[in-house]
Amino acid sequence: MLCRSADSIFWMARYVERIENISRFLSITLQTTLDSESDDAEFWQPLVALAGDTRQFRSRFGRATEANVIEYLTFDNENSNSISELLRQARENARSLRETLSSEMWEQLNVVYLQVQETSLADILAAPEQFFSQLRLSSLAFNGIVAGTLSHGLGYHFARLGSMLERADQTLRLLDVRHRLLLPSIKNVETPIDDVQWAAVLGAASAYEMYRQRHHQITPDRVVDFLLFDPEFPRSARFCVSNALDAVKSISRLAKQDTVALPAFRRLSKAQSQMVTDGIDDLMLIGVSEYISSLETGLRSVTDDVFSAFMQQRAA
Amino acid sequence: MPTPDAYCLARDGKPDCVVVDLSDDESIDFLDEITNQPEQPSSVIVVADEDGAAALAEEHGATKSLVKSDDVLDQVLGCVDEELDDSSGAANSGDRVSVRFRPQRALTFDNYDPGNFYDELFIDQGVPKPEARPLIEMIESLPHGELQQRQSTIESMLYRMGVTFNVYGNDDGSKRIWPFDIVPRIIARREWLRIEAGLKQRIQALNMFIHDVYHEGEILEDNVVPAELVLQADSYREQCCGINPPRGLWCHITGTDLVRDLDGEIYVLEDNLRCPSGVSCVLKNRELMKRSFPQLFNASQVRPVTDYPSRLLSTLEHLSEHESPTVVVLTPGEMNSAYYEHAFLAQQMGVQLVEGRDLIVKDGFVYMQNVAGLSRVDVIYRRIDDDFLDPTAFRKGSMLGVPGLLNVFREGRVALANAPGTGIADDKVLYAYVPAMIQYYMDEKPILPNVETFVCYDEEQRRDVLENLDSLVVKAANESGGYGMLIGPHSTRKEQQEFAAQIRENPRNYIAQPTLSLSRVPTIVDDHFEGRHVDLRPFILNGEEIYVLPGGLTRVALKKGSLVVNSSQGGGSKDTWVLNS
Repeated sequence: MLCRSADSIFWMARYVERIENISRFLSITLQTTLDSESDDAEFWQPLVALAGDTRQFRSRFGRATEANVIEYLTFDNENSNSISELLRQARENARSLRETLSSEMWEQLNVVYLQVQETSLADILAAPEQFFSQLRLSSLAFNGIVAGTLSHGLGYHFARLGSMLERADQTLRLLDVRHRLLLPSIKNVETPIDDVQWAAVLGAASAYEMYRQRHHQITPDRVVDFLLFDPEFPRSARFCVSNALDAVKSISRLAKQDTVALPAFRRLSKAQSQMVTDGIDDLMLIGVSEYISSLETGLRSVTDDVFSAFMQQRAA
Repeated sequence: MPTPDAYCLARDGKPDCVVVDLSDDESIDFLDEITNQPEQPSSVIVVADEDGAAALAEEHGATKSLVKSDDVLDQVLGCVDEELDDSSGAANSGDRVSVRFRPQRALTFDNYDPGNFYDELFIDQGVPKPEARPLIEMIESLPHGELQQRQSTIESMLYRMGVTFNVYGNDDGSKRIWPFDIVPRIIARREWLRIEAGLKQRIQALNMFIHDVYHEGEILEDNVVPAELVLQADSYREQCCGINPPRGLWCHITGTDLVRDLDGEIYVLEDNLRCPSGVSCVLKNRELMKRSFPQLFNASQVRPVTDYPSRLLSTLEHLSEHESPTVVVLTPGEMNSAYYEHAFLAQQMGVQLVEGRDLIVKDGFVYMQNVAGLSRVDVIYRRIDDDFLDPTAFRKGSMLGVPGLLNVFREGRVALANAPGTGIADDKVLYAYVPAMIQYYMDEKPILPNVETFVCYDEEQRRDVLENLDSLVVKAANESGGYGMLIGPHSTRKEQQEFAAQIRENPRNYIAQPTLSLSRVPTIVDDHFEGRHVDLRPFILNGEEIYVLPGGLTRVALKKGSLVVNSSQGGGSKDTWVLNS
């Protein structure tokens, strides 16, 4: 596999994962606002912090409303993380490695891209929930198509690595932003007072049902514990890190590299073993924010490590 | 939008409420017929374009009018319900009422007029060529709307699959599908055998010419081709002198443009020996046609084209001494108009698609930069022009190519297809000398004739050209894609003057040909067939043996009367069927 292709497929997978997350955040926020009578901005502003750039948003749109946040996160081409921009980049990456992908992968991305292109803001505002759920499912379907049609060789593992790093990052960001807002309640453990809010956090991570199966009652500390440390839930930080580690091992084996010497391997191994032993009590000791941001920084360095080990081309 | 050209029957079977779409004269006659009947339906609804609906309704004695819009069918059905409720006793609530579309005939060729042109499917009005008869019968047997339906299914599949080309000069970088017409062009077996033989002969002579030009130059010595024309050609590459490409082959992949004139003769219009594109379109069109008309492919024994990628791969592998050489396709990148084709061919052959920046020259070999380190490349199917191939040998500063590539090629450590320098043989001026080359190198008469060509480099011929600009087609030697061309009969006085000035200034760069009356193929235009001009680009692979892909790309000028078939200028494509018997 070409260095350039590895880079393209890694980022293609990251962009698709990001689209899925942003669509889900929007979906959940739409549902939550229906259950509440309070001010719009209270719900929509945090979403900008989560999925975009607050300063950029303020200077362009001012006060957050349903319509302008949807516009900003879906269509704004000055926002490099808007859904349409991410789709464009994902599709461009896919196009540049078209001969490497299965035709089903390309077709799925192309069709979703064309659908979003042909949709207007007014169309979305008329039935936003429907639009974003559809988009979420399309992104999830893409992952299924990748797993079911692409040979599980280098390309597949780079895609998986990209998805997992992105997903971990999204879960961590979600926890970080939400926990700061809901901070007071985390100390009143075992009291289901903020049920709606914490249920929304779970929903935003697609975790509501799986959480209920495991812990039944919603309590803040268990929610944080679940999203960070659950070994089986596919969006928990721990799950993502250990899958990313698997992907790095496979890549290293297929590229005939010395795995133990790879910085990406060492960093991910360390994070993983730490998360296996850590529990919610350690977290309280260090502070949730600090814990999360050190993880986030670590994962960002993994991306750099992977780039310099496998994707960087020499100057001609 | 569905045609609400329907009438509604009440229970007793008599029309009670009639709906007429007034988009054509036939419908107006139909309306008059109904409203003049002794037993009139209780209501007549007309549907028409905005600016005429109400007036037309009144004029023709209709009871209600609707403006054509996206939801007009729903509106019509609503009105029908309403009318039926009102009309006492005609239909009680709960009665089933059927809405039937007014029966329309399928698309037929009854009114298709081949006109004063050679038609590829018809001998005369109503008389299909024998080889086209099964197709014509099948099309006429389809229910109303079916053919258009299948065509739009194919177009939407092309769109979904992203079979698009980039349009240069469009700022939004828009990608379009190449318009496709579902009526194929058919070539009988006998005729194809002659074309095939002619193309094989031609590519052999061209290959010998290229080799000669870059070695002894005997043909120039003998003054069969003026040396000056060769040495001054833009596509002449002195860097290639003395090079011996693997197996003595320079040109491995060719797409030769053929046209048929009024006299029924097939002429070679031009040879494309650089990076001819369009073969992916042939393969895709065929794939989609097979899905649309499976019965027909069984019945008429169309020669298959699906093995092209395997044959291309064999042609490329033949260029290396290795048992299983590493072959790559080199593309300028996804901004290139033919990027889809580059990716498609790489995918079909199962080889890597690379850009210049993925390759590196090291220790006298070419390597790919892989995740697992460097790996050697043996054969490069390059879809980059000579100019951009190697900045150290050709155009300086080009970022698309691979520095040092030409040297590796010269030393025989990598094969390039086509070899650099082959462009000399598709210079539009040297084209005029190809029949002479065939005679010179092969001592044979050309099987396929050239179009009569005037070379402006020759003083006498130039004078004739300048006097007859209004009837000739003038071409610049180094332009392609339909650019740099004057079509005399369709040009303005001013354009002719501009070309005259350019010809006087740089006579070597121009040729002129009589305006051909390109043959036509029936093509769907709205709800009927009209003849549209076509050309044909067969693809020739020159490897261990010479292989001609049966058929090739039929390009069609979709604009009425237009002779320009290029994709960048409003052309489309058709499937091309070479019959087996």
